[in-house]
Amino acid sequence: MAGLNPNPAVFMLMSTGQIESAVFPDFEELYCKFSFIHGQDWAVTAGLEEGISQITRKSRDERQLFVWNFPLDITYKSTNPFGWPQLVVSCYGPDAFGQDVVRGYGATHVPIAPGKHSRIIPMFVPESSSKLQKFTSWFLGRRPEFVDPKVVAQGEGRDVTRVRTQGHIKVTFNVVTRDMKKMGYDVTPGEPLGFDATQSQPGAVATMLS
Amino acid sequence: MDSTSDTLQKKLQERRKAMNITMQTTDSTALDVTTINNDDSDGDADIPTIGDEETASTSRLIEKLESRHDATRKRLQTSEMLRPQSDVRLPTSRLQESPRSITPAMSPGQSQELSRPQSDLESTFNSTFGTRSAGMSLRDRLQAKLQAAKQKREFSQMGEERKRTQRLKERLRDSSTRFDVDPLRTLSRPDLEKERELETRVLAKLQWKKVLQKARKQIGQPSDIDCYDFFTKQFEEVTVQPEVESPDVATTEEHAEQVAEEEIEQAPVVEDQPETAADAQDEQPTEEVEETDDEKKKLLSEIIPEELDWKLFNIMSAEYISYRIRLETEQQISFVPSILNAPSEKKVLDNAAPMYLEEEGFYVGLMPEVQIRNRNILENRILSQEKQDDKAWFGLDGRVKILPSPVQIHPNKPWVSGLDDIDPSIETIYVKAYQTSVDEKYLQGSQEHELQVDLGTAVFHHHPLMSREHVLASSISEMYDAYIRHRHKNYAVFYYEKLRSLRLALKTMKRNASAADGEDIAILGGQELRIQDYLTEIRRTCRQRDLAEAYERDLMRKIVAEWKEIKALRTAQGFNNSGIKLTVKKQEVNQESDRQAWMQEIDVQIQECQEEFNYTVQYPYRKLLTEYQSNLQDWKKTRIKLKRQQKSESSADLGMTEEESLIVGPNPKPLKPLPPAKFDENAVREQLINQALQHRRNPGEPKISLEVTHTGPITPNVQLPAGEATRRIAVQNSRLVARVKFNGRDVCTSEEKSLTSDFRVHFGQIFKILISQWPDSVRIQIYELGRLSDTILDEINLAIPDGSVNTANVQLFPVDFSNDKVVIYRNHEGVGSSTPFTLRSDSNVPVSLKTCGQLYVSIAWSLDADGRVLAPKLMNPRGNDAFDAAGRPHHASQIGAQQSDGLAQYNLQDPDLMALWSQEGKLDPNDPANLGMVTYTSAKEGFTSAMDYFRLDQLQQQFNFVTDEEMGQARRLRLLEYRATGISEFRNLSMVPANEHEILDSAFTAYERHKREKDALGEMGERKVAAGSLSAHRLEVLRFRQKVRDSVMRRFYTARHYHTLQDMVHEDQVPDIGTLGLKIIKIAEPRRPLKPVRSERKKATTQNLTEGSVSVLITVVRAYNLPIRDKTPVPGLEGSLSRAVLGTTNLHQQSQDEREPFKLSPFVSVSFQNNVKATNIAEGPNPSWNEEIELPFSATNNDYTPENLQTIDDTLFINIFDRVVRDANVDTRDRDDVGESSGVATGVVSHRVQNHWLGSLKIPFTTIYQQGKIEGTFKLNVPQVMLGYTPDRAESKADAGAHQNSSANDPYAQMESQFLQPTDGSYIGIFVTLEPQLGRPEPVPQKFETQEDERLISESLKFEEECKKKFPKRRIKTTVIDIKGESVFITRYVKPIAPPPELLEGTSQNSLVCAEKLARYVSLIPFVSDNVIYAGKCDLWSTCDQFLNMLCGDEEEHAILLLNFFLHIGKQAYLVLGRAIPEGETAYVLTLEQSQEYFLWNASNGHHYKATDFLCPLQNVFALVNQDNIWFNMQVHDIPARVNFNTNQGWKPLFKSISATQGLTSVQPEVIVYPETELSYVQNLEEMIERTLKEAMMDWRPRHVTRWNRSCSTALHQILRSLEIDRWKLGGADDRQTQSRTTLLQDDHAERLTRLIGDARFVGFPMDMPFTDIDAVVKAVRSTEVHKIQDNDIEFALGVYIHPYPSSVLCVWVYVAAINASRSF
Repeated sequence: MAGLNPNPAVFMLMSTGQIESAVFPDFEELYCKFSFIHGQDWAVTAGLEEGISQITRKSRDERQLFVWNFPLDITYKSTNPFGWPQLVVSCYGPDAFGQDVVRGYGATHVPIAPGKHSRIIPMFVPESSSKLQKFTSWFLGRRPEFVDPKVVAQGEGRDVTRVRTQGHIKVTFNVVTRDMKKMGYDVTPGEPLGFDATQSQPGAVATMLS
Repeated sequence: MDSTSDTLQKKLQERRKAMNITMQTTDSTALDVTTINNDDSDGDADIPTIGDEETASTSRLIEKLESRHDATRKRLQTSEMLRPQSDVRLPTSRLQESPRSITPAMSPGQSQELSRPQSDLESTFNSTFGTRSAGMSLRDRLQAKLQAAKQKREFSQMGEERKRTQRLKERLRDSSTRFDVDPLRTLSRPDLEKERELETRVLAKLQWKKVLQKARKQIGQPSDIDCYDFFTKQFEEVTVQPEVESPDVATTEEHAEQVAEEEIEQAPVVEDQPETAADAQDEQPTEEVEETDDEKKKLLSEIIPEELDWKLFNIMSAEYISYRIRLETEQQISFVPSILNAPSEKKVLDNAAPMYLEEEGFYVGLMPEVQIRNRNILENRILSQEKQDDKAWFGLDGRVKILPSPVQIHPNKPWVSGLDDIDPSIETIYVKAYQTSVDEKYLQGSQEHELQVDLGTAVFHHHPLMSREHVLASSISEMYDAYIRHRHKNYAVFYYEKLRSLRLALKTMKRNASAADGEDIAILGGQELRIQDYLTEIRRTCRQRDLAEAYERDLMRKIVAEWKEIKALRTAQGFNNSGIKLTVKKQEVNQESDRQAWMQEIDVQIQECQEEFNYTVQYPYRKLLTEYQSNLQDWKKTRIKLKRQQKSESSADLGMTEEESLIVGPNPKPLKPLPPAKFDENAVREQLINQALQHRRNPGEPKISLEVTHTGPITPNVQLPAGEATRRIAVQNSRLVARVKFNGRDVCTSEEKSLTSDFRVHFGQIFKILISQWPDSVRIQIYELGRLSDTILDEINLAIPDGSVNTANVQLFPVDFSNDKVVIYRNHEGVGSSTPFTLRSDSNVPVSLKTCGQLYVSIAWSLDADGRVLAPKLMNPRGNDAFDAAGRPHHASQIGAQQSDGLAQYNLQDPDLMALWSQEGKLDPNDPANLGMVTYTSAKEGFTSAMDYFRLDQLQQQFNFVTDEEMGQARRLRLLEYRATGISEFRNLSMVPANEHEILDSAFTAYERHKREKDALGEMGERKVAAGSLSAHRLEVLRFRQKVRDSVMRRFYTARHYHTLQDMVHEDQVPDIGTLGLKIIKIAEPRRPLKPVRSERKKATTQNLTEGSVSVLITVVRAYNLPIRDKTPVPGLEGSLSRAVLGTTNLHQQSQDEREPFKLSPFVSVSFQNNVKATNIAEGPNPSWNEEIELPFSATNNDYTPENLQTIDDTLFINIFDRVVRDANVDTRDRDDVGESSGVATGVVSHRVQNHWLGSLKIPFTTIYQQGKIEGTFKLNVPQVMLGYTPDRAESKADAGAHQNSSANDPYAQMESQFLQPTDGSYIGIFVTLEPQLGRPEPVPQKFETQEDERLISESLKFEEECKKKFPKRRIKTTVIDIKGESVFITRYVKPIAPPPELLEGTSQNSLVCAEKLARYVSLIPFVSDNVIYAGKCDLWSTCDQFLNMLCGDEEEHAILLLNFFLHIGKQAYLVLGRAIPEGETAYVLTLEQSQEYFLWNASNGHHYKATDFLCPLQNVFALVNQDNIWFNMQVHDIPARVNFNTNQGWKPLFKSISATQGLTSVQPEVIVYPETELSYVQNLEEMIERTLKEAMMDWRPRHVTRWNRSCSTALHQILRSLEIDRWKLGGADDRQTQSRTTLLQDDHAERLTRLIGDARFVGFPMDMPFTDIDAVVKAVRSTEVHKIQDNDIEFALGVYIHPYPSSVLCVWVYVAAINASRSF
């Protein structure tokens, strides 16, 4: 490393993590795709922006989990927090006829604060515009899909769609930032939680966190 | 030793005997106990354990004793195990004193024995709590527990013993003694009894506890245990004491409890105090019971009832505190606020008197009703707290503030909570907007609205016909009016009353002040000020009173004087002209009392003056004085100090004096204030008396009142002198009439009325005006009727009354009128008007009066029979001045009698005056009635806005931490803002630097330059016109274009952000039978079909594109019919050229050129975005290259989104050149010789390569982008005249002509002719595409507002659907978007429009030439794709006038204009919608010529083709449009050559019958005005272009000298002029001749050039193009590459000619030539 730059021109955001598991009650097999979406002032310096996971089967226990443990690792540099990176995940799986059908779209911002975070992303799919369409789309295995999975990371045009949720996935992030404070962006929580207080009164911490 | 042992033995024996007896008794009790203990179960477990335990200890003793008491041991039986135990007890206690010989006796075996009881103990312990607990009585359990605890303790001690034997002994002793005591003491009979009793009590108590607990549980209170736990439990010990062997208890809580309890129990046990142990038992059971609650339930319920009363309570005597004492104690702790009114002085600020705002005339709103006693209580409560800030609770009036002050500085709007239930009065209602044109003036609805104008009397204050007496009389009556008014208002009394009340108030105040005076002077401050205020007020009132009285007296004096004048006049002239009469009434007064009152008044005033003096002068003086004194004291002190210092130090140091002076310096001796002048009472008195005498009624003077009547006799006419008589006749003849004008139109005229002798006119008429328009003005004109014409006296404006003014409540009011006209009478006594005359007999000063008077009039709305006001509904708030609406009614209502005058003086419309008035009038700022006024005036005073509106961001300003300017200067923010708004320069910027300093100002320069240009355009850049690059019209054009563009952009902004489901979600359409069928067929499809269908290339997504990854692919296939080098050289000029060519070709292309010596070697050069690539050189006029050229493409800003790509306006140039290779060593020697000799001699032949431009083709990038690919044969843009080249092969052309003419029968010839027919130009076959294919833009959803009939719209949609279904590839549109963004039927655009008349001159309208001329004109209007203008938003159709205004448009605009021109000249013409190359979807014009041939016109370049021409760029015909209908092509083929254009066959019309379209009026204008183009501007432009081009040429040739041939340039200019002008002259009407026209031109051209230039080598050609800007011209010239000719002795000639067409349509001709003026030829 070049040492600490007192006047950095960019700040860095590094996020590792995993797409750990998913809960989709009605399906047997799933795989997922992920892609990071970011604004104009962001650039990927290392890591994969997009990826596709293996197909996983539901666990045969009462948890009924789909486990991928699919690693995420990406490093950004940026000059502007506007357009903070988002993780867009879309899940696919074969339906009864063996057609690859989308099972859910979901997005979440990469956590802003450094540290370990775990996110549950509810996943949704666009609904057919009519009953008949629903039937035919089921029959033909061509469910309605978003034109671009990335629309779930944007607000525009969502008003015309109707969606339904099917399940959720769990993603963990480990976030490291660099130079953000130097550039005037303080994202760490103001007061570190006192550990004495947490130990003696577990209930209190629970209420604070919830 | 023996003896002692013997005695001991004896003693023991005795003892044992005795013990045996006692033991029996104790045994029985012990048995008793055991029986009690072992009620139900294993009692033997209990006893043996104890026994064992005892044996353990006994056996040790026995061992010791054994040696001496063998006999005794033998007697011991196992059954009597208990006996020895008790036997040895005493001896053991004695043994303790014996030497510690026991210790060694402890053997391992014994320790084993010791360990056994431990396990036994455990089992006991466990069983006590575990198994046995179920059936045990409480006591058992307690005992067991106690025992267990003891045992445990013992056990733990024993554990210790193992280590420390020393302590074991002690413990043993302890335990033994305890065991001694315990069973005996606790289980003794009386004890048992006691215990039983205790037990029952405990049980009872428990029962209660349980009930209580239950109750508590229900309430949620903590139980006893909880409480107990809370205080006693030590949580950490739960974990600390793991070794305590806890029995199987249910919960840890219980366990913890037990531990605690055991500890408590243990403590006394250890101390060996059985009493306390018992006590502990007494006290503790409450806690113990908890664990057995459930089991106890039944038992307790049985026991309790009868024993409850006495076991639970201690009965004591009732405690009684006497009422008195109780009261006393209560009073000590409680406070009862008084219900009496608290003294007000406590409530207001210290020593201030309560102030009552309403008494001082301020508005005080209604307070909510609160009972007085409640209020008093509250007040007293607050007062009792005695804090400093308690006063804040009280208002100025000493009452507690019940409401927060409703007075707010800023008006605000209350928040409306809950949007669902909005008060209907503030609900917004949607009202459809209506057009504000002429209709607006008319009132809405059909009700009758009626205004009534009541004309009363007109009174002339001056009239030219007045005699002098009249003038005087009128002035008297005027003054008298004022006098009466003044009296009526009774100012004297008013002021007198006011004065009295003021004085009264002052007196009370002074009384208060004097009361306070004794206490503290400082308090006086506030009081003092108020008294001062009062005094000044009194003085002012005095003065006003004096003035009022003086005014009255003055008036009276004047009236009397005038009256005297009249009397004098009357006597002088000997007759009475007016009936005016003055009566003076005197009212005598009591002189004495009057004088007294007068003097008293004076005295009072003097006193007041003095007081005021005191307050204003004395007090400040006194203050100054005290200040001075204190200052003086200080000064003296410092002085003394200094002196002392000086004395002490003077001897020491001389320098100190300086210091002293320094110290003294800033502390000079204070100046004594000058005492003010003494109050001079006499002087004041004198002044006051004088004033009073002057202004007021003097004492003893009678009160005078005047009365003027008009009842005096007027001398009859007979007795008058002639002058007066004629005047009177004139007066009688004078007639007046009033006319009422409404909105500037005469509506009513009054009857003619004559002037009365006292110069009044009684109109007495009421006019009712029934109105249907908004009343703007109502005027009354007063006319004086003359013999010949009426003269207008004046025009009076009447204000339009608001809706509340009706005939019932209106009164006549006077309106002044006047007239400045000069009237002089010579023949009679009339004084005239505006002319000087002497009025008074005594003075010579002439007076001049103008005609003036008052008209009594009223205007009001009529009432109908029901009493309804016939005013329009929206009469009131017509003005947009909100202030008017809000402010006026209120203040009008609250204006007092006295103020109305003041108000009337001001013009109410003037806000400044209004503010002034409200300030002077001292409006009560608290009165809600004045809200509008106060807000308004306060806004005037300080606030930035009037704020009669609601602001959403009213706090914005406060939260702006920097100003907007500073914000604007922040470069980073600017950059971000620009990017967010999508300004093209910044749109795709990424990684905007984080720090301000990293952004350079240069980042904005390009943008700012553009912006400046735009701004300059907006503000009519004068300089630019001067510079000559833009004419006024052109400027107008640019501005219009910009405006349209801006508005379109704005309109489509929303459309762009409008998404449909299809934009967001891919969803398969519900398949119908057809698609299902297709799907099924697809399954059966062959895997590898014999005739594969071309599948679409994959489109690249924009994200993956980077610079350099996209390129334009151009495949140049071949060219046809290129012009060839001249075979027959023109002597002189061309000869040299052709010879040269001949020579070179001879040299290098020997074999080829043997046969075709004059053909050419063309190659194609393609340029795009500053990249140029060329093909190889081919040969002949029909070359074939088949080469692929790849040119890189880079998008601006690296933005490959469709939005950006659409706006790229780069153009692909395809140029064909002829490469002429020439020997370089051109010199004085003969060329051929040199060439050979040099070749022989040196082996080096230098050549000069020259590229001669033959033609070009331009393809805009947008076309390529939108089409995806462009493929076909295109006509080359070839210069009209190319010297050295013939446009086509003369012989083939001649052949073609011959074939056409002669051999119609010869099939071969026909075929030949067909093949050779399109020889009218040069063609090139190319294929252009992008690699990779870029995604095409999504079309903007074409849903727009429309004003079309919905029925028609739906019909047209249906039509489009049907057409699409039938021919999905044929696009049809029936409606298009106009520049307002509304859908309009295309047919509306079609309408005959007259072309500029200049174009029709000289040609017959039917001729093709005329049509060509029109087409040329239209094609000269620059072509700009809509995509470029409107950033790819959509395809807009502008009307012809808009098109001409913008001077740019794409295919549709050109086509529509041309079509309209054609229709005007009577051609049968249609608009053709179709697809052409290279434009893609386009519009052509179809005409039916006289020869019954169909012609297709490309309006944007002016070319026309026969419909049968297979090289016509129009490839598909979709629809035809004319002004009546739209026809869709239903024929199988849509290639123009195969389409039948007869609309009756194979066309599907949109409107079935023509009548349906009758209603569709055209959107086109009736007439288009074509403004003349300014010639001066054109000349300027010509010069400028020439200059720019010359400079550019020199720039392009940096390494060579560029010489200009002037004479040639002028010649070229002339040639160019003739080229454009003669273009139409040469050709005849016959289209056949057009073909030969070019040849003719060529010949003519060459001839001229020869004539002009003479013998020189010459390369060059003229180009023509529509003028857009100079840059375009420069680009075009550059693409010809003339400048690349590098001969040393080359000279250039440049001719620029601009042909002005009407409406600033300019055709630029540029002739660039390179001349080799070598003398060698």
